[in-house]
Amino acid sequence: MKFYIALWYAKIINLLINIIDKSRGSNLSGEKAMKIDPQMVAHFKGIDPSKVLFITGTNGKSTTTNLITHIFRNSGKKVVVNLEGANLIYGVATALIKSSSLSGRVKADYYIFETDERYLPLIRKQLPAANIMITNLQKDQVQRNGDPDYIYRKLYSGIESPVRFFLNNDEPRTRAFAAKSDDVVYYGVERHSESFNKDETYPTMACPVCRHKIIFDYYNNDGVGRFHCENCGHASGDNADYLVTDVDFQNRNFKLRGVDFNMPYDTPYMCYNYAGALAVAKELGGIEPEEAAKTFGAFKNVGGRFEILKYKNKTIKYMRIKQENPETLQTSINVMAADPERKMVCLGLCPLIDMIPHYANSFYAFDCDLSKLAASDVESYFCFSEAVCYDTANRLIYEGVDKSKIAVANTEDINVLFEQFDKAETDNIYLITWLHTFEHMKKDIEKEGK
Amino acid sequence: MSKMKIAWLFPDTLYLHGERGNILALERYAEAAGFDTETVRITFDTQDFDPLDYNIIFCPPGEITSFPVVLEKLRPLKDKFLEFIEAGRPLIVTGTSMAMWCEEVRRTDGSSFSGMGIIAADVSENEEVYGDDIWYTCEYNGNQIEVIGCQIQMADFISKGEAAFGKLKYGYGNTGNDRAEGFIRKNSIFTNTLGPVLVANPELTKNVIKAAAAAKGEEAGTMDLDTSIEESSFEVKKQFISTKVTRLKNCLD
Repeated sequence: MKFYIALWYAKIINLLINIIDKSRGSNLSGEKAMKIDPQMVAHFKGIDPSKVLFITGTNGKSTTTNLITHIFRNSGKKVVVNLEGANLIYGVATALIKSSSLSGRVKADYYIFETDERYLPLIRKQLPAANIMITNLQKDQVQRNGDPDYIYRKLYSGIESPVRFFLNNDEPRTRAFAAKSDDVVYYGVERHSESFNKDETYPTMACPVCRHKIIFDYYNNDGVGRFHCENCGHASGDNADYLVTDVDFQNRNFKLRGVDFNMPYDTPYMCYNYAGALAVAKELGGIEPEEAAKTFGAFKNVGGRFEILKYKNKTIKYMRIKQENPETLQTSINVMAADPERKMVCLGLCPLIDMIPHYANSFYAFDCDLSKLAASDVESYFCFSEAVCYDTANRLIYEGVDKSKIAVANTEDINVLFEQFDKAETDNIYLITWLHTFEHMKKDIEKEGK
Repeated sequence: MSKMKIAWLFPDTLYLHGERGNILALERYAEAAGFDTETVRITFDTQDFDPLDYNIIFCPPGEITSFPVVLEKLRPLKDKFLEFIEAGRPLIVTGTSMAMWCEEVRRTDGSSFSGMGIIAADVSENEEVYGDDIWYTCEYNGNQIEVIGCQIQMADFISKGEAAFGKLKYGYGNTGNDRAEGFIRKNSIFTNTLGPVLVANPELTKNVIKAAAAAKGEEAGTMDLDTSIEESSFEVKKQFISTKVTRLKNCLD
């Protein structure tokens, strides 16, 4: 009975949210309902666990969830999904509440949920998904997650068999999950024109199996690429089951199993999202690559990491990174460095404000190789943001950048940013900052007609 | 030119928090002091590693899971490390890797292992991570120095009589219960400070170089580097820390 009260209460909340503000409905009804029935997710009827997929990992889980849902829906499948990035149990509950009848019965072909890597074991206790995709497990949100092993241990010990894994073949921690199941689908990306190496002064990482050094033959993204451990033999497999090949960033296409695909987003990290989504499409949804290819052109990512903004006669290329996350910073740095045109680089590495206490961390910048950016044609650098701006500038100085090329401001005031854009001779401006700062700028430009 | 030889312990296994920056800082200041530098990466494949062949040893932070494997290589060298420390040479240990130099390390799963027992302290892994800024004063190489950095605390370090390295103005430090931050033995530092600490705090780095030079019977040059960026950084972070909301109560009195 508790379940029904919780469900109906949540449906009333959803009804009200739909009237007041649709954008606020990703978590709330689930959160309120689970106060009444804490086991609510386990009580929905009609869900076949073999049709449930959890997508977890440090980077790429939202985009991959979006892409899989796009392919499935465009192939005629009915999907229940938490697309809004609400990836804790309340988000899963909310998605199920929205899709269920008044009796709590859910009718869908597939259930695809982005799940936070810390909370996946907890969610799976209530909804025993038979399929789990792990995109990668990397340094991220250290204030909350500490080190990658902290998350690896929580996830590894919390996933009970039986399970079918979809694993990134090229990320060492993720691939180590293969030891937990006989049913593993690997996906990966062939070396491409944006693959890179770091010089040997950069540490790599500890092998998740034996703690010795992981050697990367090359990186496709930072921390992801063909790897091996000389001590225990842990390594990326020779060929992933689903391998993105023949990546052509210029013409925006790639191949998978001999099928040509258009690339809706031409950044290296997207290639793993493509490979993973296509693996799931075929193995879980029975959607052949030829069919999936037809859906690719119309894919629009929610909350993309790269946006273009016009300001006066200048082009601002906004690159959204996850603060505290060296992988996404390295990817953005690589994109800037690869641009042969003269540019201005604005780096807003910011204090962390996700939780109390806020703190001023920029140390992940020392994990990133800035040498190619420093060697490229940069007219000037602008380091801004409260408390962290001078450390960011110092990171550039340690990379050999001349101090005279660096301006610093201890602020995130967008007017100060606009002043710096105005000073630049180049019209080619790269910007890293919080999404909310960028959106504030966007609104200001639209309002002022700049 | 005399050589300043730096050992970088297990950089790929103890690889967290951008600590390569500390090596860059040591090299930069040592060179400014008039030394040639040579940094050697000590790995599982290194044969015949002798701490006494080096002027500075840097041990960066790693995951606690890695420590037993690393300790297999380090533990047989305990007496050499003690000799290194007693000779006044700087051993710099940052972050959770302090645990390897302490006595007993208790993990959250109930297991435990022994550290090298060089520092008289026990270690208790925490269920939850604590991340924050850290700001303290310390006396190093005869100088009073203020240090600011970050701290990602995976464990508490419970002193059994070992002297603290710093006195907290703000931060969690060793346990979050008092003002003790890290440990010091002669010129060797065991600190929770990340950041990387030696990049962000040039006075400390200069004194590490001076101490290392003195231990080899030489005098360091003046290290006239422009540190205005670091000084500005220190001021804005001090301001940031002084005005932020915190739940820590250990530095109130």
